[in-house]
Amino acid sequence: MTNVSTSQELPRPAVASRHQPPRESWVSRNRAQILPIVTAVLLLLVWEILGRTMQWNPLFFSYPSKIWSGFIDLAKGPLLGDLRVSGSEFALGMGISVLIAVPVGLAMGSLRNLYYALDPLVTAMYSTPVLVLAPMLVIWFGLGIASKVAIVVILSTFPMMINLTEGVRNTDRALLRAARSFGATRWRMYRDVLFPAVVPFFVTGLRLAIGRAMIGVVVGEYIASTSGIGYQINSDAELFATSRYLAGVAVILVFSIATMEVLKVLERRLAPWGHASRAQE
Amino acid sequence: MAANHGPRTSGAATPLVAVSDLTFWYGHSLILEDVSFEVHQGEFLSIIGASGCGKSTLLQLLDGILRPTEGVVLVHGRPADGRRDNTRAMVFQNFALFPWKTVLDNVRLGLDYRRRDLSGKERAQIARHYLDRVGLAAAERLYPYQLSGGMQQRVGLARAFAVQPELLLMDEPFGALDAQNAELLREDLRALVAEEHRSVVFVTHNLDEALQLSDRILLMSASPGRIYEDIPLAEFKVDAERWERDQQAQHRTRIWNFLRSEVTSAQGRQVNQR
Repeated sequence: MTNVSTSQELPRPAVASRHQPPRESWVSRNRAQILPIVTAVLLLLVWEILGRTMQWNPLFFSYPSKIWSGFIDLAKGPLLGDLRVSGSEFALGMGISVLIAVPVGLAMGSLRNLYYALDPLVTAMYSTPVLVLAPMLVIWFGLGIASKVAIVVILSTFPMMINLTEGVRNTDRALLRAARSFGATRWRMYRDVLFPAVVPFFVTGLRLAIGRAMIGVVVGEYIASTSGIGYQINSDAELFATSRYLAGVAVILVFSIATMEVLKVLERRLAPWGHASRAQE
Repeated sequence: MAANHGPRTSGAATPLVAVSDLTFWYGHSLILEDVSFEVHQGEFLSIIGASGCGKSTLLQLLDGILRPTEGVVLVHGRPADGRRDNTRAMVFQNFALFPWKTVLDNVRLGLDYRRRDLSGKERAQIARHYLDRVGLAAAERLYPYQLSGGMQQRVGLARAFAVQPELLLMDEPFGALDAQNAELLREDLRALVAEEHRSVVFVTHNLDEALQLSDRILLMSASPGRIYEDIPLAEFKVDAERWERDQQAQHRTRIWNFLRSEVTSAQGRQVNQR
């Protein structure tokens, strides 16, 4: 078996270069990870020092070490129960949103008439602050989990739907043509071209949806509920239990950062082909 | 035409491809009108013409992705109607590699679609063979974005050859490459076509490329696309030295004069329409 391309190569002298690539230190190589930690630590430090030296009214102000004890207080008390309630609202709401958004989004991307029929509605539902519907949903679905799930669904479905539709519509025509030319069946066209092409769009939609879902859960619990992390934050704020209140906020903060990191890993797993090129943007 | 030119010569045998009175409308524009020609077993046919002469469309009609409005395209006596047989494979100008598939999976794509009769192992083996033939055996686990343009089109070539088609359809395959890579790939293509005895329909706007590679050139005029002249080169190429010395230049001048008038008159039309 001969290699057609390397038949007539001229011999080349093997000369090792005297030059070494410049060395990069460990800190410099990992600065993308290190710098945000430096920012966070500095911020917390300044906050802590200000809190301890300025003696501001503890009803209106708290600082990291006091918030930590507030967190311990919460953790010994209602925190787990609240997380279970808020977590189920979040998970159920997101689950239903995905179940609605994926088929409708894909169908809207592939069927032009459906796209014409539904696009204005979907765009309207995405761009209006549908949180204003939350009080009505509470009246419909009551104080329990159901009303919060409904709020999450109306917030999270549409960003995913829009991105899926765009993903299908932006699929490279040349690839569809190539697949057809090589004899792909309809199912293989979906499996080999459309689905992979849509993955990055789906992850973007998911990221938007998750952010909105968390707003939905917290605001829904603010408006009317008897438990959940949003309920807890609201009641601590009303009681001027500022440290506990901020500890609740910190819990949400940690949860959002964690989900975003999980999403990054998920995207790398689902779409390894585009990772390097996107990272360079 | 004598038979002593080997398998490259068009003989009296049944043609591999027979296009007769082909007319193609795209919406309200007439793209191709009354196109008839044949491609013979083992022939390397280039189609050349100014942009807008419908040469890419013609290629898709040969592939069966598009259907003729009037007329017929027969491959082996059967209409090319998009039902997938294993007679044809396409090489695309912009490679059309699947970014989410590794190089090996890209090469075996056509086999995976068409050759369900083979086991996965056999398909991978064939794909590896052709990947090796284009010098990319070591790249099988890479993704397309990790390859240069020239390497990507080698993968495109391997993908088309891997299904072992009788007819290769090539749509300006080297048009997106730099001159050096294009030249290297032309060498590879020549070697592969000769060793595997494939027939090729090669669409290009590169006149020298067409003269270098082809046994025959179809010269097309634009709007609507028609065949202006059918130029057999194989008989001139028998004497390689003489071809290099004077025949090539003569053909080049003649074809170029036609293309020049096509391009300038197209520009004239465009200006007048404004």
